[in-house]
Amino acid sequence: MRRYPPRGDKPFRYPRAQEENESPRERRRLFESEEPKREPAPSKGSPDSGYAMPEKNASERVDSETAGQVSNEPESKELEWREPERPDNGEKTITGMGVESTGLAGTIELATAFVPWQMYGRTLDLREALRLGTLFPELTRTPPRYKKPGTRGEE
Amino acid sequence: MDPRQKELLMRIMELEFACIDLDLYLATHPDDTRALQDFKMRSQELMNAKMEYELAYGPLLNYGFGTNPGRTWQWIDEPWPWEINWRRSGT
Repeated sequence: MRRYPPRGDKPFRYPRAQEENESPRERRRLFESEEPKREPAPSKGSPDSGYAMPEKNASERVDSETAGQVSNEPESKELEWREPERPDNGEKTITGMGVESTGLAGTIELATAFVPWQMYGRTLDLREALRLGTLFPELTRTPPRYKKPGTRGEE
Repeated sequence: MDPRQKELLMRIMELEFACIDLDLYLATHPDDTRALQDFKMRSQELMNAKMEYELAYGPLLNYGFGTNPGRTWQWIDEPWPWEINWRRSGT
């Protein structure tokens, strides 16, 4: 059974970073270097586009509209594929496991919980600690004021 | 209640709480030497405060766990915890 934090002289690091022996920045750099080149979207009508729906001829469309006939063919717009819009904020988009994230979120994995590790720093005065319920100022919380149901909170 | 006695009791409560909180911290940070040093210092202060209190005002604990075995039954003369008004200087 593994034990966190590990005993030893080395400073504590998050388990994942420790296992892979790389920092989040280093992991991102490696990921970007391994990212395959994104091919541009094939143009409509090209043989390798994958969309077999033929484009309706412009002259035929004008003729059918002028003749008052309704075409039974589905609109080809429904089958158009577009590149998803990405915010152009200078940050590189990271794609992986079907999810995308940009900016700060790109440096960490999505849907992964991280708990900050408490570091020993300043401690409160003992009387204040007894009153607040903790010795550590970073753990103090102001409890919400109790509001009696049906009132505005004055009572 | 003697103000000095009340002050000592309050000091003991503060030190005990600090020791409990440091103990909890050390449970997850066993290699933190600063916290361990503070814990040892606070626990020594707590032991001294308890000894000072028991020598002056009688035992804090029942069943002979106190450090004043000769006056074990003196605790019955002390005010009960709910009889102490911590906001006033007197009892």
